[in-house]
Amino acid sequence: MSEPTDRHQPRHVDRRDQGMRRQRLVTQGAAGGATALALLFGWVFAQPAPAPAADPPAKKPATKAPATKKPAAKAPVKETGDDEAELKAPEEAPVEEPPQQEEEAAPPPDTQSGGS
Amino acid sequence: MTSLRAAPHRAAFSALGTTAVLLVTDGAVLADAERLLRADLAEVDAAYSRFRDDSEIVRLAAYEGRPAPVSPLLAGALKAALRAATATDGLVDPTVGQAMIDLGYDRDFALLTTVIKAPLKSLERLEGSFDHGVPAPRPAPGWWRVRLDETAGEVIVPRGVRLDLGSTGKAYAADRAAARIAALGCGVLVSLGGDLATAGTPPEGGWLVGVGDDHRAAAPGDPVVTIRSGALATSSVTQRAWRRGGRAVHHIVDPRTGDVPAPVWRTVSVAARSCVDANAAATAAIVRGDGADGWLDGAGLPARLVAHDGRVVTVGGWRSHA
Repeated sequence: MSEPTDRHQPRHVDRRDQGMRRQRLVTQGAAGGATALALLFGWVFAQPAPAPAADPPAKKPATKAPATKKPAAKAPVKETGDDEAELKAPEEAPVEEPPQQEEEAAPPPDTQSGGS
Repeated sequence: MTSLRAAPHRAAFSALGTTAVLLVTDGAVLADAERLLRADLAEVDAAYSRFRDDSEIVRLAAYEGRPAPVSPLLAGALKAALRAATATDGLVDPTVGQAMIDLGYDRDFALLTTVIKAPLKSLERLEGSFDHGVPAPRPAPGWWRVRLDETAGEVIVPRGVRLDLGSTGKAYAADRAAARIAALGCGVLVSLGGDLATAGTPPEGGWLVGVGDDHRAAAPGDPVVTIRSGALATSSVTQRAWRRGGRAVHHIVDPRTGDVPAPVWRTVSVAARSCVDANAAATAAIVRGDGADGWLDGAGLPARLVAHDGRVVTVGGWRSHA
């Protein structure tokens, strides 16, 4: 009975080698998966946000201290002598055209002022 | 007035939900003037139309009380509106936007198909009560809460406040367009829905303007006035009226109540230095009701007031032949 010729290493060494190869495969697979996940997340977060339908409000960092007073609940008192807040009269008042006699042809108005 | 008077050159078209009329004293500039006016009004519509989701004034709501950038055009219109509010003690207030919506005026008037448009001609039609399901009127938040920094081009509109420049916006556009067109070297009259501004040298004999309830057509007996400068505006509750909650309402809101004002004056026409001032005074007079004639007279503003019963009162130097 001849000894097997293909067994050039002891049996216990071969098993250990197989275990190391398996472990290496698992380690390499885990590393590859982690790399792929990192790349995937990087790609996802690198995508620009979809453009809003309207211009978004600018969220600037606060440059002033917050207001310490509530806004006024009543209208401010109008300052006397404030020309800007006065309604200004025309230089000339409108003049109504006199009623036309029947034989006169009144010119038609250029336009009409009325409710709209 | 002689019948040989040369009529000014005229163009008319639809804009801002109403009719724009352009009159110039020089026919050679009419085409350029019309182009300028159309471009102006397109800018105005994009800046402060309440019925366009993409208008600047509608997009202010997204800022919810934070400073919002505004274009020079909107800043100018807001400044005019806030000044009118101060000058009328808040009877004309740009913060009535939500009150307008609550009354049902939430889209272009031509598209108000869910309500029955009802022209108002008498006091009786204003009577009635709110149905259930219709929001109860609430006072406007108040114009003083709106903070405008024109230099910085920023405005702060408190959260929940909706702006409506209906009482001054068209008038501001008319003033602005008339001044720009007069720079072409002619006399000009710009009328937007019957609120008209003039600039430049008037035609011989002045501008002839019919005055009545409706800017689209004169009614028998409507007076014709001559103006040579400044502006003339008319506010009336007989136009832009509809039914809401079982009663007739219209587009003029009393900011103190958020509801239509008490029915005293049907139509008020006021002459002033600018169309913004004329329109603010006319609207404030409708809102003020009793005593508005004395208030206009005290302010030196020539005015013609027509009560719901047809009684006509002229004050402030308005020369009447009636």
